[in-house]
Amino acid sequence: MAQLIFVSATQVRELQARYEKLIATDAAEQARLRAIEERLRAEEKRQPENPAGKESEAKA
Amino acid sequence: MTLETFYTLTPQHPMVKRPAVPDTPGVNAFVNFWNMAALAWGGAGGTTPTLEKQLSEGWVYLSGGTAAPFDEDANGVLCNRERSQIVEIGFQGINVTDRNQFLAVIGLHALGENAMVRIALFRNILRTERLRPGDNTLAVLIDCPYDRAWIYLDLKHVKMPDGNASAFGFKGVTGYLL
Repeated sequence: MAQLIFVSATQVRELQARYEKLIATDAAEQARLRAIEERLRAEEKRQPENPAGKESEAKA
Repeated sequence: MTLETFYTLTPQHPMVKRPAVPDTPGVNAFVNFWNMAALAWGGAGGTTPTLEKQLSEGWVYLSGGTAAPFDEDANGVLCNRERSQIVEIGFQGINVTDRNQFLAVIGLHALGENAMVRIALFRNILRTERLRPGDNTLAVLIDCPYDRAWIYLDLKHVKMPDGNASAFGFKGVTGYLL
């Protein structure tokens, strides 16, 4: 049986705010996340007619 | 009610990008593995499970010996990320609203009696769970804060409070948009 954890909207916003403070001074972490987002954007440009998500989900 | 898959991430397919189209939200999602191991695991050294087995069965092994001490995370926040075994899941809904929810269903396989995982959202600890030997499913239901918000979930491998640890494997995560 699955163990379910629920996170309410209020809690999400609170944790998100704490996280943003946490990484505000962490340039390496910000750069790492930016690099992932850029890779996702590059993937979209590279495969405009075959979105990566569809391919991945079909194989999974 | 039937739920349609929003995204699926596995070690073999660690990234999903699906642009939004009219009436259908899009998604960006990825999984990363922070997998510090003290041993030369799974390669030519012949330790098991071999890399070949992990690849063929589609999971990533997190070994027990290098699991983090149970009490190393202070103030409710995951620490020592670079020196830990962490499965990092990130996803972003596109053309969604704060009336949506995200359900992440995570598949883990515990190899032994003493496998524990610490689940965190935005690095803040939600819960620490002891896994049963064999297959385990964790489900995290998250209210969507706003359109295009990135959500970051971490699964950190920790030892039992008494210092024991057995290993587990990450098999995959399936996301649903509610």
